[in-house]
Amino acid sequence: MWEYIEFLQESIRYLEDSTLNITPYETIFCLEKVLEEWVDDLPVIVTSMKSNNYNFRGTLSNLGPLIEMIKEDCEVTFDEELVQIGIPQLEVYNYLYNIVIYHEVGHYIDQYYNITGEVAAQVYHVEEDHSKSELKTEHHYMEHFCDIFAAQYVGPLISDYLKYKASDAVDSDTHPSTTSRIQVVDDFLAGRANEIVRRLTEATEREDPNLSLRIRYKIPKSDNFCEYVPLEVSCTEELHGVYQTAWDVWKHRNQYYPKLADDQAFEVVNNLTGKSIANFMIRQKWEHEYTD
Amino acid sequence: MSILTREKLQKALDSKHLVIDPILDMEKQLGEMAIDLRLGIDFLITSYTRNPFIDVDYKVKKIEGHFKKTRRQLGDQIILYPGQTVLASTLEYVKLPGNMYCELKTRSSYNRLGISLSTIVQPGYTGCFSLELTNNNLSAIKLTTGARIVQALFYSTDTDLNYHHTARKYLCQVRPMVSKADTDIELSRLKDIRHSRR
Repeated sequence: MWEYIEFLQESIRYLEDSTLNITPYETIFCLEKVLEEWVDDLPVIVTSMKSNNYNFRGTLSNLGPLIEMIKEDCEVTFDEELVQIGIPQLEVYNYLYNIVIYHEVGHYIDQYYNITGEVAAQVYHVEEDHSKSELKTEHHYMEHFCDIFAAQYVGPLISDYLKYKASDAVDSDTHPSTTSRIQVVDDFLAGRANEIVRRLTEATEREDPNLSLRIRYKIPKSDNFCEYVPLEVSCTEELHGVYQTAWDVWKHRNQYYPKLADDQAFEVVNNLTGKSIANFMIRQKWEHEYTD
Repeated sequence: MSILTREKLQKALDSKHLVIDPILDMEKQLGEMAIDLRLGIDFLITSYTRNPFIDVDYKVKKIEGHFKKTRRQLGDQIILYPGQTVLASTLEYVKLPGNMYCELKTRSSYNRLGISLSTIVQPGYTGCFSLELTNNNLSAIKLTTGARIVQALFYSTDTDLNYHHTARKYLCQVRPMVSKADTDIELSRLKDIRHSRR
């Protein structure tokens, strides 16, 4: 019963927040571009800024048997999947930090295709590797998958985030050690042999031969940021690549903006990042979303 | 100081001496002596609050409490009520060269609806232009984001000015920002003068 009430409360919160008109459309646009590559039918997306952490979850597909009860009680049918994206309010327009959501989208895609569930079953039951419990095996593959998933779009930034957030985290029931996670990401990006990367790549391709874990970003060739001008993004790969340019400039802010204090430099980089994405989004809408 | 006409504006844009991004329809936006700019998607709307007036005193920091943030997507609409001031910004991000000054005015079609605006932008400015829109009409007006609402007139200046030479209140802004009038340093001195009289 509690889950039922929680679903209703969450739904109301996300519905209210989605109508507040403060949504970071730029971030959502990037995530929609990711989903277009991975799922056939785009879900309905709602956002909330009251979340403590970043999250991205397929709400209806997460409900399990409860969904039937809701359909019956509320006399509703659900024709489309509903995705809830949670962003902490303080970070809503902090585009540089929003790279974390790419990892969270990985959980949604994993759940959609049950990729790590199959890998864990293979490892635990078929190969009979019982060095970890079945659940721990699955959780660890899940986190590795999401790290690789994010690295496809934001490259080594996901490792930087892990170092920042959990630099000394050791192996636990739910997460592999940070050292191991970073190693997997580094090997994936460098194209080096890695057993975990191989298993996850093969499992992904088994789900759909058109799907693959590969690098899906290009870093825009431009020094616009040092001229205080947004990047000219020419394709979706460059759209995701904007984040790496932005972080590179932020890390070297003393060279790019020697006269600016740190808080001003962050505002400049962050604003230019958001506007680079926004300009690409606006052009796409202008050119494609109209009828003659 | 002379106004830049179509040919010179085109040349400045082509050489990226003047940056305006995005220009969605060059043919429609570039006029004989001005460039039309579009209404952006971010707004700060004035609303009634518990504070009966906006106090422009030194660092009272209550100005933003009189404004409410709201966003729209391209093509969505926003209503300006009679007498209401709404802070908006242009859809376009602009970088003016150090020898170009800009004046921003509402397009004639919008002047006729009772919306007026007159802003100057200093040479070297970078960011979306701030639009302080007030509806002087008796009727509410519904505006569409992305519509060409203002015209920018560009003037060349005799000397090249360095915009980043001094600290700037508004740098690379991409959405409207509340007035920072309360940080004007002379208000501190004036406050002291006022208090010394008591």
